[in-house]
Amino acid sequence: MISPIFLFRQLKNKRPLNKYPLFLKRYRTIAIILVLSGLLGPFVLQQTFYPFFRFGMFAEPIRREIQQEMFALSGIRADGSYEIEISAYTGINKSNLDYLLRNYYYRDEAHDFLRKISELMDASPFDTITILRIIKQDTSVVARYPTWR
Amino acid sequence: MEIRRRHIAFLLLILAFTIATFYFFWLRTLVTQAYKGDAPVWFMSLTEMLYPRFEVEKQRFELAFFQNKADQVIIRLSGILLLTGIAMRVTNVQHFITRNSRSLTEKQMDRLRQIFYLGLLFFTWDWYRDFPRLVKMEAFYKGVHLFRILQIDIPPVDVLYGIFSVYILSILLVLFNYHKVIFAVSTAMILVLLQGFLFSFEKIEHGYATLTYACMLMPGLFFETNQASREGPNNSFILFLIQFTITGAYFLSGAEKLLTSGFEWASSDTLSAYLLMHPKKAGLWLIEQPILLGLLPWLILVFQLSSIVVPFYPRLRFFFIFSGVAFHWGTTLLMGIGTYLSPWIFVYIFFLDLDKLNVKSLGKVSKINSSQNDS
Repeated sequence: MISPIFLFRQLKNKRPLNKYPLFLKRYRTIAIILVLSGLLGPFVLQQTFYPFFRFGMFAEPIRREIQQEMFALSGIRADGSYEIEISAYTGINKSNLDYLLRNYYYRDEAHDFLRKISELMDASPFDTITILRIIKQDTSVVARYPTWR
Repeated sequence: MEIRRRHIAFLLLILAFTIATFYFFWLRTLVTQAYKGDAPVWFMSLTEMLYPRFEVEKQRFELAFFQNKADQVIIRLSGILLLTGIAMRVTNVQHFITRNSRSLTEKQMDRLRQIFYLGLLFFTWDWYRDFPRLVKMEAFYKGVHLFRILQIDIPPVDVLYGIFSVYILSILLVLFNYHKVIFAVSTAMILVLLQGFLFSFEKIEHGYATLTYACMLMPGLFFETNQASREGPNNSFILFLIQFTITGAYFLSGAEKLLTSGFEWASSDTLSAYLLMHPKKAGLWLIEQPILLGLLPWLILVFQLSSIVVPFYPRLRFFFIFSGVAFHWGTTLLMGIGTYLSPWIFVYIFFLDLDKLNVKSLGKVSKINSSQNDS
C-alpha cells in the first residue's frame, strides 16, 4: 500500500521522470489500463461499478408489459379524500422514490418501505399511505400503512 | 519483449475461446439453477456480488432474460479478449502512445484547467443543499459497491459539509495553480465520494459520468504537462485518453443498444414507447411524424457508434460536437431527461483548441488544426 504522504512528497518535489518510482514512470500505461477497465468492466458485466458506469440507458426494447409498470406513493386523509402522488411530502426526489418503491416492492418489503416513509413525513396530512402499482389501465394497491403514531 | 507481447496475445486468444466453450457447455446451466434458487453457494454469492439487483429483477423477468444477460457477459468478455489479443499482436503500447499524443500549448493547458474547474464548480457548487435530505433518508441508505467494500456509511451532515468545504477549496487551489496535481487528485477523490453518497439510495445517475471520468484523469494531464515542460515540447497523451473516454461512453451506449436489442432498437415502435413513457409535448408530437420517428433512432445509432473514431481523427470533432449537442438537447426536449446545460456537453471543451477559440475564428481554427493533426 502506497502511503498518501509518500505520494504527496513524490509529486510535490518536481523531478525528471526517470527519478520517479515505477508506477509514476509508467503513468501513461497505467492510465490506459484504468481507462479500459473502467469503460469495459461495466460493459462486460452489464453493471455499474461506481465510479465506473454502465451506459445501458434505454438499451432494451419495450416488449414486455411489465417494463411499462409504474408505482405511486399515495395518501388518504381522515375525511376519505386522497392524493395519488405524494412524493413531494417526503422530501425525496420523485425519480429516487420511484426506484426505491420498485425495489422494495420486488424485495417483498413494501410494508417496511411505508414505515420508513411515514417516519420521514413529520407533518403528514394523511391518515394512511399506500403504494399503488400501475400497469397500463390496471391499478392495484400493493400495501397500506397507517401514519398515526 | 517482442516475443513476450506475442505470447500474451496468444494467451488472450486461447483464453477467449476457453471461456466461451466452458460457459456454453457447463456454466450456462448454473444460471437456470440460480433462477430457481438451487445453484451452488459460491455461484449465488458471485451473482449477489456482481448483480445485486438479481433478486429484484427475478420477480420481474423470466428465465430467458437472465440467460440472455449471462450469454452477453461471455460474448462481450470473449470479444474483448479477442480484440485485445489482436491489438497486442499488431501494435505496442509505446507506439500507440506516441502516435496518439496531442500537442498542447501552455496557454491552452491553462485555459483548459481554468474552464474545466470553473465548470466543475458551476455544476456542483449547490450539492451541499442535498446533504440534510440525504442524512434524513438514512433509513434507505444502501452504499454503492465501492462503499460496501470499504464499509463507508453516510456521515453526519456536519461531516458532509466539512468534506464539501475541502472539495471547494481543492478546486480553488487548482484554479489558482497551486500544487495542481495534488489538489486535482483530492478534487477527484472527493467528487467520487460525494457522488457515491448521492447514489447510495438505489439509483445511479449518469448525468455527471463523463465529467467524473475527465476529473479523474485531470491529475494525469497536469502531471504529464509538468513533465513535458521540463523535458521538451508539450505532447499530451492523457488529453487523448480523456477524449477517448468521453467518446467511448457514447460508443458503449450504442453498442449496448445493438447487443441488447439488435436492430429492433432502431424501430420506430421502440422510440415511440420510450416517448410515451416520458411524455412531453414535443415527444408526443414526434410520435405523429412517421418519417422522423423512423429516422431518428438510426441517426442516434450512427452518432453513438461512430463517435469512437473521433479521438483518432480530430478532423471529425466538430461533427461530433454538433451531433452530441443535438442529441442531448433533443433528449431534453423530447423526453425531459437531462438539462440543456448538460455536463455531457460541457466536457466537449476537451475537443476544442481553447487558446485560439473565439467566435470569429471558429471555422478557421477547425481547418488549421485538422491539417496540423493530420500531418
